[in-house]
Amino acid sequence: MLLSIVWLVISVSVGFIISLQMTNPSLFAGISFLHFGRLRPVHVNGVAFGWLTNVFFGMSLYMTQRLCRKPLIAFSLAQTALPLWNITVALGVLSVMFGQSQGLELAEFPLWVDALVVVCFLMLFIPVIATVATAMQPKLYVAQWYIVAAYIWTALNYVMGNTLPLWALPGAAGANIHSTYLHDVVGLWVTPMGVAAMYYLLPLVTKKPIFSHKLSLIGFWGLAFFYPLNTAHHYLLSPIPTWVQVFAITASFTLIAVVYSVMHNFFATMSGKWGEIADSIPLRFLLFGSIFYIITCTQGPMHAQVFMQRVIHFTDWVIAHAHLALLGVFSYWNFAAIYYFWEKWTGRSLKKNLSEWHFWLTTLGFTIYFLSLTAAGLLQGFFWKNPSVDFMESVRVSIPFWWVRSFSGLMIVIGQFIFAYNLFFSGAQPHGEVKTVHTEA
Amino acid sequence: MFFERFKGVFFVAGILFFAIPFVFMVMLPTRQLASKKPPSGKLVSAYSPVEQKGRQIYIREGCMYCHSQFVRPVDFETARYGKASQSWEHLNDLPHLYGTRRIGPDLARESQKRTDDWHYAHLYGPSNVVKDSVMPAFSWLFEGSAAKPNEEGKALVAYLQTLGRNNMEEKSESAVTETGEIVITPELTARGKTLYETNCVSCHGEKGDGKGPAAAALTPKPRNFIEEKFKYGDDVQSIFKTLAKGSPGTAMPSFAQLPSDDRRALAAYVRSFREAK
Repeated sequence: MLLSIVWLVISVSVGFIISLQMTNPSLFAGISFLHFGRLRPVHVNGVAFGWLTNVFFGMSLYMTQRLCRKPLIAFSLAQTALPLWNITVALGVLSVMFGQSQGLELAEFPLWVDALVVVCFLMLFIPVIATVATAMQPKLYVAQWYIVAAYIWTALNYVMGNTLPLWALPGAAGANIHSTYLHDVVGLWVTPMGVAAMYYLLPLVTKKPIFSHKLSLIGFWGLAFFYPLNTAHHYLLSPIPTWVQVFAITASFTLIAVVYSVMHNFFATMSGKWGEIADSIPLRFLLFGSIFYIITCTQGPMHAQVFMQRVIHFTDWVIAHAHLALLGVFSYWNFAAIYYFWEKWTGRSLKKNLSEWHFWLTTLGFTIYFLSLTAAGLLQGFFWKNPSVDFMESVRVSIPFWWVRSFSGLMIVIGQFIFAYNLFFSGAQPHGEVKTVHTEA
Repeated sequence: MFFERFKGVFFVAGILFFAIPFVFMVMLPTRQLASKKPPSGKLVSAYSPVEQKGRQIYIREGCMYCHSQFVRPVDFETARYGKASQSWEHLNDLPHLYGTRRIGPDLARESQKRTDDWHYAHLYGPSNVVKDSVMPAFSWLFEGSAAKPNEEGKALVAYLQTLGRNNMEEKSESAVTETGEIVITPELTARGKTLYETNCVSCHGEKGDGKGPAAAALTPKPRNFIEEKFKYGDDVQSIFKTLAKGSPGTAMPSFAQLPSDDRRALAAYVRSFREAK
């Protein structure tokens, strides 16, 4: 498990460096494998499958054992899968850089890498599901619902998204299933795994039970039912049949209720504990992640409406929104998890002032990043609304905002380096390394 | 309660709730889309081997991250790019390349909008051709100069020229070539100069001598406005028409997308090179 976290910190650093490189189009001119079109998938896949997924694997293996009160069935299988997974993602990313992309966003890895992904995933899926299925508990903990569902959803989704739109469904039908895959990676993997970590950590950090079990139920089942129905909202006003789009818009809107039920649970549990965010880094990351979650999930259903789509679709607004979800929400919850467990698992003590730097650089940097891209997106959208304005004007007007984005991106990158330094090089090492962790887990 | 047990979560939320949208939101629309055939008179052309290779290069270089391939049925979008896209146009597009971001313009109606030479010059050095462009230069698709695309460069351009060919617009020529009266004033010429600097200098050069940065890649060479004969006439009305229609067989594209007032100003400025001789 420690191994997974070692890898994820490398992934996040690489991911963020790459995102910074992308802001300057002439960087690395003439080197085929380093231009924007080849590096963008490295960043996107690195963040989703490298950084976020690694923490999810580590956390879900740990949480499952704790919540089921028994050791993982076939632990060695999962243990082998983790380094294998990281090699697979690295191979996938390299193969895309060197020209083997499948051409579908977030499903770029070529077929031979897809096969490895599926094998690794099953090597984790089987131990987790088998452990929960044989735990003989009268009912599962909330976090466990999300973990179980996320594993089965993602097993199905990954296979669906990497086969059908490549071999069987052309054009609009392909776009439709691709948007289903893409959004389900976010909604049925990243979201439930992140929410699971949040549900697990919050009672531990605040030392209070979750406010309402009924709200937890509504949140989980609402997500399970409505989320996979809303995915066509990525291609509104496209040649995908209109009734599909209308349905997706409606399903998107219901998610407001789903998300607010989860977030009400969060903030009600927080009550009486607000003072602690000053001292507790994990709690602060949890809280800020949750605030960003509310913003993301209010934005989402709003821009699934056609009147918003007309202007903001295809612009940087959407890029800002995606970063709000994956950096602002799920990376923050992952940071909370890492801060909470790192000292316990490794026996190192972290430096508080470095953690503070990490928090503030990331938060300030990200806030600037989000605002600049949102503003740029609005300008682009409104420039395009006037067909007599040359397209290039929308590029020229964005450039100052892109500089601000690079600057704020740099703040985020530095923040992550401090984070990595803090995790690996600060503090004493009173007792042994990897092995103790495995036995404890 | 069932909803809190493993069976409920795994089988109902996990499998059933994934299967319902798969059938309802994926398979049903797929069946419907597969049955949508092109209207009579139109057909969905298959990609030739070269075009298919070009499509693979488009994917390999990640062109779809910055260029979408569908025009939405929204007034300002059809005015900028052309007809709204229809699902039957893309029946041979596997995988789809619709895209979700426009850092550069949409390419769904690219077929025959520009010449192959224009594309070579642009792919070799985007900012030579389009001022301030942020597109990367694809030098590895060429043998050292824009005039020498390699097999991959040729295939990519062949593919770009297919985009939208299944549903070409029948152009009403009169709408864009209707000159109206052009009164040459210093203001009009000055405005033309500004437009010239964004739209024309890359090929025709700042001085109008046909020696812009992209000119080296083009055959035939761009017109030298100062000295050479104009193929379609050098009076201001004719220049205006050439701007609307482009010059077939050369890299000169149509500038019909510019409002006619802008084209009047440009014609006046281009004409001024001759008068200054």
